Amino acid sequence: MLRNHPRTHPSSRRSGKVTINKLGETAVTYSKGITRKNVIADPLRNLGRCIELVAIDPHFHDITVGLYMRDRTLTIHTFSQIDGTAERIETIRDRLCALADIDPASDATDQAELISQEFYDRPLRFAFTEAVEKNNPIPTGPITVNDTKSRLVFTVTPEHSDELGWTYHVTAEGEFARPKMRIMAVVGGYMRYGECERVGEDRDRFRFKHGERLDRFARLLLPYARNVSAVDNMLEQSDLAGQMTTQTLGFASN
Amino acid sequence: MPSTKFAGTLTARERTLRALRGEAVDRPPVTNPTNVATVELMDLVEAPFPDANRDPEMNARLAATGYTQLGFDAIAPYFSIIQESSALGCEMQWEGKDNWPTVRMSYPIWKTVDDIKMPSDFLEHPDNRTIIESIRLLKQEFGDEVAIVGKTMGPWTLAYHVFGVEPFLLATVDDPPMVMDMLHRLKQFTIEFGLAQIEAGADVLTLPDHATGDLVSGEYYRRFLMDLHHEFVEDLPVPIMLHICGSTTDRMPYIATTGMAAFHFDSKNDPQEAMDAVDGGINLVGNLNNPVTLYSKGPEEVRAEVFKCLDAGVQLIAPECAIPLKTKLENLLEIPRAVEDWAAEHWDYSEN
Repeated sequence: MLRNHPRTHPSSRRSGKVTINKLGETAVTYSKGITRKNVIADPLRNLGRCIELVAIDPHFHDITVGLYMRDRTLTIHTFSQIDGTAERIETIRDRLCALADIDPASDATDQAELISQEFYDRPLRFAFTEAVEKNNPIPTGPITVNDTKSRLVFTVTPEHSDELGWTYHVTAEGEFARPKMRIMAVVGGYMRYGECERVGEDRDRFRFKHGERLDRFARLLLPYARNVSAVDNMLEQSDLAGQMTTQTLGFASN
Repeated sequence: MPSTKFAGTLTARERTLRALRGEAVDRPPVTNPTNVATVELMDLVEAPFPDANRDPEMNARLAATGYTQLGFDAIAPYFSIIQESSALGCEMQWEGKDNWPTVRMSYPIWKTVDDIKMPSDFLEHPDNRTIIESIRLLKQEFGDEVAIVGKTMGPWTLAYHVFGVEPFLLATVDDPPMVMDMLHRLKQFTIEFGLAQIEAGADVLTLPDHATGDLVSGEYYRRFLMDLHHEFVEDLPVPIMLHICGSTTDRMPYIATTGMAAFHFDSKNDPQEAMDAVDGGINLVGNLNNPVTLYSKGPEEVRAEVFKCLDAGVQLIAPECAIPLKTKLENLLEIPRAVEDWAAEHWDYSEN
């Protein structure tokens, strides 16, 4: 297990002091010197490769949280040492496991294990970002979402066959002239973000690799799959944040 | 230039300074002309943006991680490009932890050359003091162990900030003599801030002057900036690394004549073509790609780019510009590892 990385930093480091003002706003103040000892190389070696970084956790002092993977073990990690961080990481881990087809590690509060045969990069990154940035209850029940481009309501239903394994059937209810076009677009969204394949002649079904049943990913991806162009724009904007380029500096012609 | 004489004995500072002087080193230095701070490092030392740009202690803590955590041979405490412009009164957008502070160039503060005046408290402005005091703290902590790299913005960049990009570029067409006057007057800010950083302990200065390939030609560089840049070499008595973003191969032969110690070049330029363009006239620093390689790829791709630079003969290895704030640490750690591995394989110390 990946439990041997230090949970505290050298003695020169001190946690921030959290204060709450009369308006209920929290602030963290710090006072400490320069850290000379290398404290990142060993933890990073144990954590494995970084799948996704969320720069700001809006629900916990704006700390940065990373999702790392080594072999089939995922670790949620932050370099912050603010009091309460371990509890927050456990909350994120639990939300991540509710959003994605992964299971919590039995002996660690910051880790989870892949349960799918394949590693699904983009779905896991969506799930991690949502786990950190959102605070809403995780939906259960039928996999359904309102369309953003019509008055349709999409439903995704898992179905099993001996030939294909688990497939997912996309249906739509509501008033719209050409619902089939929207359904095909949603299936295309699953192909784009979930590495799924389209199945069947009606172009209204998809499946994950190996015909695995991955209902949590199917639910997670539906809001993204319904509007690929908007999601692509969102991802592009997200990637530009924090980049210093001639464009972002305003020193370019386009 | 390899040398067995120094194998394992050069400090990071000596390695950097020797390379900038064109002298023998034990391996090419990994340097940092601009910035290697990331959001994870901000958490590590409790020094998040934007405060780390405005508080000397936080600034020094975050800057030091480039050496203590990442293993670079330099520490660069001026992360952005806006400190002087803030001190001059430009309208600022300080942003948050995950984005760069910027100057709102659509609200320029000056309109004519006569508006350019040195404020009496220019060096005392808190945003300039932050860098000066941070350098003092870093020098006090690290002494001669690691190169402290200051940064002072060149007159072309300052002109964008105080006059706005479009008005300034139009002026270069409408009234070139006035633009030359503007640049000469703006030069005083570059020198004052640079000298203050040297006095505080900076070993090297980065001088960004954004006559970028996207906006101006190599001929513009020759007409407006080449002589000014030559003058900086006389005015600022430390090695200077000139930084210009974008495709700049067309102006590299001019840059090579300025006498500056190095040119920090963008990944839009092929390393070998850049080496050919400067033809030994100046050292090159760079040019690891930020938006694709360091931001979205992995250590293997980073290693390949380091090797490509070293194979071409690039003297100092560095990211091409300030790295994305969400850069993965594993990619940054790979840079010095790759340099050491390359040197061990390619430099035959026994021949020296």
